[in-house]
Amino acid sequence: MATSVRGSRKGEARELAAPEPTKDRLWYQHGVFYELLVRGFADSNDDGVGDIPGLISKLDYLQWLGIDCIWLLPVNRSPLRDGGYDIADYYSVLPEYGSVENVRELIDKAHELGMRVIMDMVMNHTSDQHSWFQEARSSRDNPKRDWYVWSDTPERYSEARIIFTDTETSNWAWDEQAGQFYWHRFFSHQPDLNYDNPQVRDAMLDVIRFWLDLGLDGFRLDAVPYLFERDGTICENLPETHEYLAELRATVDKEYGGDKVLLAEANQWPEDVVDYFGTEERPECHMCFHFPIMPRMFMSLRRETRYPMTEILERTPKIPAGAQWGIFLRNHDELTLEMVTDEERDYMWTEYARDPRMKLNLGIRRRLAPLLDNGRRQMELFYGLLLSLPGTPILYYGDEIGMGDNIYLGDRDGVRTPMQWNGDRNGGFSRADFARLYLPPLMDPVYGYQALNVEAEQRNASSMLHWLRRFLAVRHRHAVFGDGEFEVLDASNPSVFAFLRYNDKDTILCVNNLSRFPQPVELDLRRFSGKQPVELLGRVQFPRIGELPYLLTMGPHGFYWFTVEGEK
Amino acid sequence: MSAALDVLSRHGLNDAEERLREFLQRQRWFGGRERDLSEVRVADVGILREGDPAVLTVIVDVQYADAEPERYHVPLAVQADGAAGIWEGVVVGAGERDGRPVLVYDALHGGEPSFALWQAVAAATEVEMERGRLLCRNHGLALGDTGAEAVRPLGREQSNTSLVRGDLEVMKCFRKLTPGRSPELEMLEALGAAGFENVAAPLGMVVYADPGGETSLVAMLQPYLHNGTDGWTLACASLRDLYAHSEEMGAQERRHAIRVVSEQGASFEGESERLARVTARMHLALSGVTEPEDMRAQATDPDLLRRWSEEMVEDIDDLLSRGGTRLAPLRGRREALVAAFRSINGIRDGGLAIRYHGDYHLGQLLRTDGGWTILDFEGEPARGATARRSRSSALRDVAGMLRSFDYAAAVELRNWGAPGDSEYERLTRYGEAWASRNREVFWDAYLDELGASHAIPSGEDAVRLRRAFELQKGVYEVAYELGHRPDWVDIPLDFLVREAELLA
Repeated sequence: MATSVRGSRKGEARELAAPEPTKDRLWYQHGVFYELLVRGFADSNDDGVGDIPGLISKLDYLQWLGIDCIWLLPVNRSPLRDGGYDIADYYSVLPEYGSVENVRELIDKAHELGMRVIMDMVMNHTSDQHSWFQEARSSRDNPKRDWYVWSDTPERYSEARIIFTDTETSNWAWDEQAGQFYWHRFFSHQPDLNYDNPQVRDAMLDVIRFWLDLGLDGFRLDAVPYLFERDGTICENLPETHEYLAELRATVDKEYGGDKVLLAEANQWPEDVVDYFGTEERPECHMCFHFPIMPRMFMSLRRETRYPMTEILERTPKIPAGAQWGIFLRNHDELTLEMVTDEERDYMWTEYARDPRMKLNLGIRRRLAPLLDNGRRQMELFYGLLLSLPGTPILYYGDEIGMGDNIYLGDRDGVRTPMQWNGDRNGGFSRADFARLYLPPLMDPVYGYQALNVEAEQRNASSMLHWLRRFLAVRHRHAVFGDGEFEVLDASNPSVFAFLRYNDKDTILCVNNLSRFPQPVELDLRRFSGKQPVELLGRVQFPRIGELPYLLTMGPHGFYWFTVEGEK
Repeated sequence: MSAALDVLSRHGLNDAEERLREFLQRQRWFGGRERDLSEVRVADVGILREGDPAVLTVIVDVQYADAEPERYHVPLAVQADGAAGIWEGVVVGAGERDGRPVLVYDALHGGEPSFALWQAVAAATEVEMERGRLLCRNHGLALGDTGAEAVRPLGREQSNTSLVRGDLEVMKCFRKLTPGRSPELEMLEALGAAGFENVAAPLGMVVYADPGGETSLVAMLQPYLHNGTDGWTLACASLRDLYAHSEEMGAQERRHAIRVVSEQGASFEGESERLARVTARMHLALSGVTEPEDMRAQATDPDLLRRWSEEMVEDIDDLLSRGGTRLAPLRGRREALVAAFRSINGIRDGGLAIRYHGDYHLGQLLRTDGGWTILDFEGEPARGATARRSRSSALRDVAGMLRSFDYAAAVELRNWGAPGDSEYERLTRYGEAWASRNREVFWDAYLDELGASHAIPSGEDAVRLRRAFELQKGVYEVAYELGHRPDWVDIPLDFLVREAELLA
């Protein structure tokens, strides 16, 4: 039981922790993140459900691949009515995953291997099963009553939109036992915490401290825009919310030495999300997700032109020093139309609605490989872009081997099938009886575990897995990918997307062909006149840059990375 | 020796007129290369900048035995230090200044001499020249810390010389000077004043005022459009995808072609819609211009419509008066086309006659991250200065753009086969479907964006007038291709024949 650890305070747990990876305050800018579902990764006790000891047994694989930080989807105890985003106890772990002790062991082992661990933290709400809510609903006099947001009428805050319009009709739900309505921005079984109550603000800081004391390296903060409510507002992105996040950041920086990371999930437009970085003087989160890049990447590939991507990058505001975007090709979430601005919705509608293939995938969670028709070159191009565009790449488990999905399992579960380790029973994920598995592994002839698994790809030097590992290594050699400036280069061929990443030490030229046909491109590189580009993977020396347009010939969906020798 | 020649001589350029004659004849932008040149005369000289390099602005008059005289603007750099590195192709002459050897060369070759123009615009300099004046106007240029090293020629131009400063601004320097208001500048100014944002609004300009006070535009500074691709190139990328896709798919019925177009990966329809909306907003802005008076929108009356239809009939008769077998398919179809032209006389309200773009096609718009920017407001290239400033229906621009979709489909098709190839007929169907879908999307969005405006006729009358302009454009294209690109004559010819069949 977790209570034995609950009392631990700052310092105590840290003495027990293994030596940490090198102190680099900006490690999250240069690293590569790997998002995984403990349930689906590896099962150590043959109960059909992945667990933390199972994950620990696979850490060496993640280190081999070149992962710097593991992001665990929710692991707290939960009735699992929302994939674990309905936490019933912040201080314990879902029993089938293991214990808090297991998490400590995971962190220590990961640190020994030079990797870090962050996990999902739901700040905005709890499960209605959480003891805080149970106490709160029990009577109006209960000390926990004011930890949630109550009302006698469902009229208040009527400007706030309903996020899950498919299942919810109001942000208020009647609670018979409490005799009042309670406020919930998400599902009605997820009552919002009342951040106006200082006890709640402190209690959540204590939750954060508890896990950081275990050695955890940070959190992905779920649904941060909704912490506070104010009359006459849409109850999103309120100044009070930013104020609390700044306080949270200051606490974490002060008490934990400044090398922890807070990654905000604010599923909004970059110009709004940017506020969640705070300012250099009063920072909030270290990282925020950049949501629109990913669908624009798919659009660019379909259109065979760079504009869907360059437009969005052009509209991405500058971020404070030390801040970083988190970018991804796939994750467990999906950009849906209700999350975007009117202007972008019009654009997506104009572009997606006319295109049955795009429309089909809108709002359905798919993995990378099926979305790209399992095209190896397309996948390589996408990874090439992910690893070179501004931001920290976040990989989704299984995508490194090109795993498929099972859309018949439904919306969320389709991309949560067991990791495919080898060709043995259940793909090496678990030795449990097949029928006992939390979800069936993929078994089709193309994506099934017998055809596609880590072991087979590790043996095959030309596999997707080996290819990606090499590119991760190249990225690690050049810090400029993580912290450099970004500049799109003019290219007369609209199918070619060429850009520079540069800082004061290094300049890298990235050239990408978005077309399925070979393409020529002429680039104006006169500012590098006299320099010799060197291709990063094979260290091949390309012709010296002169005063004339620099001609490159690109293979179908091909891309090149060059260092442009010397300083910019 | 004139005072102007004296200034040049003092700066090290002796025999300036002889040197300039040789220099001009080597320049692509010089219109007199094939002509009988009788005189090259320095009309005026001014000192834009002293020092090393110095920059002189020189106005040169050229007389021909066989053509109207022309006036050119030739700014010259005079450099002592470091002149050895100057490319000989731009050198006008060599000499001595203050006892030191100097090189005199074209100042529009980038670097310090070209940057002097930026500095003059930034400072709104006015130069008293030997006879006239050089007037620089600043409409928002700020120099910042990007200097001469970032100023470079853009290259590859026929009649002007454009320079860029980093990716900040483009300076379009007119070589041949035309006295009077520049149609392009007045269009940009009118659109800017109307709040229309899809143009590169001028950041500054340089004007030459001759001793009589007559002005000519010498240079115009505009923001540089970063990461741009013209509409023609983008349309061809979409068509490339379509033709490849249809090859991959194998034989299909025509109705499938339409579906394939609307489902193709590199669909152009989103762009067509955005192009149409920008076009409509441009026309709305031009419909509202009140100053200067001769740009103000006018109502069309039956006389004007009759004049338009007569012009159209004249155009086709001019074309058919040419001999040759190429036009054979058209000869028997004159009546149908003439009937279409005359049908516009029945239009009750022809909408407005406005200043319009005049040379509107896919290649005249540039896609950037901010959307579409409309370029080149110099008007119809084949027409004289007065005609370029005339007013007519906005549908002339629409017709130009719609023809352009047809052209793009046909031109890209030539990369995929030739008439008679087994695949050619089938691919033609796809190309036609592409043009037809994109024309439809464009037209619908254009009408939608115009809304209740009376700029164009209403309902079926708009379609009738638009079709007549398209057919007239087709006639112009046939004449043009016969003279310039005989291989392409079939593109507009097929269009006219097809339309005539439908009309008959």
